[in-house]
Amino acid sequence: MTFRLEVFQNEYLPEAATEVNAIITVTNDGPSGAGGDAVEIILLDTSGSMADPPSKLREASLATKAAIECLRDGTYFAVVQGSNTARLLYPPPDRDGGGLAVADSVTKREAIASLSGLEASGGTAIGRWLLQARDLCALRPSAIHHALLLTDGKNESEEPADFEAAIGACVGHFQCDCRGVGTDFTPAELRAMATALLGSVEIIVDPSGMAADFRATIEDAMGRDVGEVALRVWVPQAARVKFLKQVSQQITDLTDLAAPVNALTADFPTGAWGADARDYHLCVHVPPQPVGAEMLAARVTVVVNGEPGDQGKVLALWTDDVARSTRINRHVAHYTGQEELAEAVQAGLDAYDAGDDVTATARIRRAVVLAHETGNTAMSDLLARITEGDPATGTFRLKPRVEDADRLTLDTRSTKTIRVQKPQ
Amino acid sequence: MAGTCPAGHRSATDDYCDQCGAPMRPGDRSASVDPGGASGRTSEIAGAAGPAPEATKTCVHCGSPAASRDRFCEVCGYDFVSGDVPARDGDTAPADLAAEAPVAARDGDTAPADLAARAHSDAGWRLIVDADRAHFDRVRPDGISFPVAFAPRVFELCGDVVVVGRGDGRGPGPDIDLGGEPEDVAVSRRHVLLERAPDGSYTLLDPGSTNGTLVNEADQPLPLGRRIALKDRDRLFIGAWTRIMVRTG
Repeated sequence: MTFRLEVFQNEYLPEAATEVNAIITVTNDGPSGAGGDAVEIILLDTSGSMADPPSKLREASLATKAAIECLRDGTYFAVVQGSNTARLLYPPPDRDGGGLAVADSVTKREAIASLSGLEASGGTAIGRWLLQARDLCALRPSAIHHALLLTDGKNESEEPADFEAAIGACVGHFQCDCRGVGTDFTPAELRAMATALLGSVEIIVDPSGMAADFRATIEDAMGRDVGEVALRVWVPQAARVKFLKQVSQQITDLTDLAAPVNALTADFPTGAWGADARDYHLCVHVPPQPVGAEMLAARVTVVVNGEPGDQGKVLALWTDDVARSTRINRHVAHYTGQEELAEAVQAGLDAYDAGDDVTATARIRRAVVLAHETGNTAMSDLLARITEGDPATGTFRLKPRVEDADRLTLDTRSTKTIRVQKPQ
Repeated sequence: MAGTCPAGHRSATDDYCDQCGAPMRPGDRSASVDPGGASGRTSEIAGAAGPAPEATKTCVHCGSPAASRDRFCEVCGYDFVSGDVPARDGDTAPADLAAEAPVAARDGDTAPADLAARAHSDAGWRLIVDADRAHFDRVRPDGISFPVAFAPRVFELCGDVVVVGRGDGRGPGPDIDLGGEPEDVAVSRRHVLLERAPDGSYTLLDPGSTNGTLVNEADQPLPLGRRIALKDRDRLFIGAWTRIMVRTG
């Protein structure tokens, strides 16, 4: 297990500039092999709508079965059934030591058997499911905590404020990957939850795709054996972190999750890690300096389970040499484009929902161009499903009928990014 | 404590002050700026020059307002940082084109009728610009309406390279500026380039306009970067409703 940190930036700033941008790449070369304790909570939506069509609940059960089968022996786990309340489906609530089962061939078989009696009824109060998961995780405080949440509907059985409070109460307690199935859920809701809980968001349009997704998600979670990795960011006096976003695999804004270390330093949690490489976009606001001045705009340290490790410097050098200050680092340009792409897709779809076709077309046209420029072919394909014509000509427009599934898929996946390509 | 920075802060770090970020040894930049040097720094650079952002700004390509934080114009896709319209094959850096292009025909304050008369008498090449309903109906542009009234404009062609586009009154505009009310906002700042051949005729090139250039009956835009010879009565359709007729005598 070795964490390395690299900084990509153009340190030259034009006169009077106050913004420094850098891409921070963190790489973990290999698993530690330590295989520490892990807690896995599966949060399964069993609200009434899961019965429509009946195959939805059936596929969800099959997916949960696949997920359980992937659990490493020794993992602490539970299956929670969610509607307007949260109910522990497995292990049975009355069992001794209650709350979490230890995965082995017997408990896995029991857990899978408990899925057969599932019935869909009631509403959707996701906040209560999350709080249940948090309480279960608290039974094993030193483990790596992960949850997988599946829902098919809007969170309509509790007040938005309660939902927000529940998310807030879970931050830092466990990571949660969120899955929407069907076309009735709200991507923005899932995204808010996944962002706060350092998880991914995905849409499963066809229920039969659920099992594969669950299996991959659990395998991913089981591969993470480093529990707490944070980026410690120091900035000088009078400077501040404008934002820090994870930008590879998907865009997750970590800015609001900062935990102050001292007046000039804060830790940004990045969750649990396996062998992985992730990119972060750091933007620092610095006080402007005269031409010729040099400043350390940020010192970034990767902190693994509380131990500071590899370190990188983000610099600022003010210059009147326009050729130097106006160049954009390739990595920064790439992710700036991807962030703008996500914003353009979301703004375009919001405008579309609001009936503002002019804005929707303008933003989606921009998204098409950006997806092409940044080589995000997955996004290009999704955009092609809702548009027709060539963005380079006046013939470009949104399709007169945009399918719900296409719109939701695009919205849910709008934050997925691709990594910087090798230069041609 | 490792030392005192030039501003007088006591710093525990000896490369940069841990209070104000100033270098502890001013002038010694070898360790900090060396690309790929200490602490895993990489200064790989891409992209070209562009204007520094302001609180709010106007797209220099199509004139639309934009927030200063926007890197790209939402309307035409102009890249505020690199100064490029969306990069495509055959794209030539617009700034270079403008720099090379000698000042040729300018709309100026000359009455179009005078120009037309003079051009006709000289039997020179000229462009007649008009609004074209059929073109407008064909492209079905979103959010753009066909002008209620449009007086045809005539531009005389002179010079070896003539840039036709829609200026915004800032910076070096195109040689033939189609700006001014009613304005076809789908015309790029540098939409087409006319170059004089040795025999005095002109060729046409779309250097990378945002919305492309249709020639005569073609239903596909002229491939960017391809040069075609122009002849009398050729019609170029650009933007949302602009038609340019070529006349040679």
